Amino acid sequence: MLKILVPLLLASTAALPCAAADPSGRWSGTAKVPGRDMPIVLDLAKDGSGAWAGSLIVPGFDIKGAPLGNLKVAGDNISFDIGDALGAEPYGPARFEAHADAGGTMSGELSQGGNKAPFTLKRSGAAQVELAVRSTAVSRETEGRWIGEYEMGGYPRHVTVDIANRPGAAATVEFVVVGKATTKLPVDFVSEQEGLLRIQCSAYRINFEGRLDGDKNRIVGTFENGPFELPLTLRREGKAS
Amino acid sequence: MKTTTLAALALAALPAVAGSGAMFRGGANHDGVYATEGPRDFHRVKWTFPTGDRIVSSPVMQDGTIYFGSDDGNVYAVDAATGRQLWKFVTRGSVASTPAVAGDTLYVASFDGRFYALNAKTGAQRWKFSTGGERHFEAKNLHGMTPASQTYFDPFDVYLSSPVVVDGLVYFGSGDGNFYALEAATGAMKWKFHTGDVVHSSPAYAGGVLFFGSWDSYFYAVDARTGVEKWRFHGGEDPVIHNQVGFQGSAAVVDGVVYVGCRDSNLYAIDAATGKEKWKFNNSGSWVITSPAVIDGKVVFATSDSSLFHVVDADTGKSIARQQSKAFMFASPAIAKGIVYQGVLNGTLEARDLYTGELIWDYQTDASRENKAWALTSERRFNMPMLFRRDNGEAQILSVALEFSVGSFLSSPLVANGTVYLGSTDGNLYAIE
Repeated sequence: MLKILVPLLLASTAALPCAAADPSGRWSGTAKVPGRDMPIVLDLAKDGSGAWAGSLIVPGFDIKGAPLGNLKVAGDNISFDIGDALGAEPYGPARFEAHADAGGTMSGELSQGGNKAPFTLKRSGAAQVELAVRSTAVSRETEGRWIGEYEMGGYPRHVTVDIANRPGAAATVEFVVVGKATTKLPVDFVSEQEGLLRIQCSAYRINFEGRLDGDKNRIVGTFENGPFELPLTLRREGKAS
Repeated sequence: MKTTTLAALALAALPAVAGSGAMFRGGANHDGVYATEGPRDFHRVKWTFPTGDRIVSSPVMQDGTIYFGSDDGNVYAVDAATGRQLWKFVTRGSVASTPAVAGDTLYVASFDGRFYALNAKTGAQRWKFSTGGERHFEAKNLHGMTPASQTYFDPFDVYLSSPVVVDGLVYFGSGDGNFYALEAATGAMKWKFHTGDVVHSSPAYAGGVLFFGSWDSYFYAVDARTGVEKWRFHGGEDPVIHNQVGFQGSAAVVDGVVYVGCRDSNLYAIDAATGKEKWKFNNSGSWVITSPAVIDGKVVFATSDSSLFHVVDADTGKSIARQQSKAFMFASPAIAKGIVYQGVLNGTLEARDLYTGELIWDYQTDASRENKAWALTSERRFNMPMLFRRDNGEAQILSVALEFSVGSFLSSPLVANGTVYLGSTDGNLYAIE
């Protein structure tokens, strides 16, 4: 997942006397998963609007800057999940419930896949919250139903892509591949910037990148599936290739 | 190349042992049926026998002695009643092959690339035969491991070919791509048959013909006396990530039909005489590693990723029963008096009704309960996001090791004397009654 590092202006991370512990800052420690301590680095801070934001790093688990979802800070109590970063349904979302004390310790419970483990974090510095790059709207010409074909391993695959803008929000994409089976890809990112359309499905390690050609009835691009990269031209449904 | 001990030269020709129960899947045709009663309820773990590494080999029994191999490199003989060690024999590689016992000789393969004949009473070596060397199946970009141009060995290629002994000859496949026929008494090579890749499936025998598959995508029928090919059957291919190719599991041959699972996700029924496909049962991309068990017109098998337990009609391939298990299954089902015993990779032994597939009882290993590194969810399913985080080859191979850390049952059950015997990746051989 693409992310940009956004340094946030932070209030003092020092604990305030006679007040709830301020949970903003970087917290480092481990979750006591049986047989395997799981290192955790948590960044928490308020954004410019005063709302809490945060991200999580889990070294060794390929998780760097996972955005926190359903983040709630109520006094000393903090709860959040990390979306699909440690597995989508039925495994996730992994959820954290914690309490911060005035001494600079945050302790709580991690749950994932029905398992639960205690974790303890210590303050380790200023917050470095990473914010995920957001999907964007696409140009009007890019909207619509697109179809195409590619071949992998000797088997032909048919692709149908439905792209639609939503008022005031990012575009939605339905990406269906029909081969031996019919697979609707869980698209988690779409953007169109400087004419380059990017559609990403992290769960399947699939990316499509392409550009509208001159008559706006084809998107000429490449389909990446893990290490494989294949040319894929999408044509507007109803238009000849 | 082989080496032969002088003592072995004095041995008379060994009798056939089809149906004796002292080989993989209970007999030479590998139907997986045991004519004895197994436990109808779980009562207790009668005993456990610890070894130094995971147990992939399946136990066999003769005259009250259990024989099996361990990945600690040893072949073991254990008293079936007490779990007391009678002898062990040291090889230089994992013994992931299931022994065959014929007369008073035990035959087994090791990942050290040798095939051994041992005195079943004492464990003394009678002869050994060196193959061209063992190896795991390997390919570039295997299962999508990266970098794609790197060749990786398959961490799921855990089994070695288990021998079958018939009419004085012992037969087995090898990672060198050959299928061997040796004189059972001396270890002298009678013939060998070359395939295009690793042969870790175990040969089934029926009517003078050997049936086995190779990772070259073909399943073979070969004349047992001459080694001449009678026919070959082509399974699926997967030139991209080599995930959906190869016969890893072994066949059962019953009433002139060969039943065999394939990594191309099909269970095939093949006419034993002609090699023509009778039917196939597709499992939508899920490997069929289990060797099917066959009884009374029913074929019982289980799948890997989809974790399904199937009973299908032997004539038509139509589903009779289908049950969702909790985790992948590689071990082969054993049938005894209407109950199917099935090992699961999540460290559970399941007992299911033959006719409905419904779960009767199960037993979970301590390692599975401990659930190190959360390899399992709380429902005993594999916790895939915790296991497989990255697609680089080293990470995937380590992930498979973690997957097997929960006391997985790769070993297929032996049913005898009201007891189920099988090995676990926790290193223990279990006697469960």
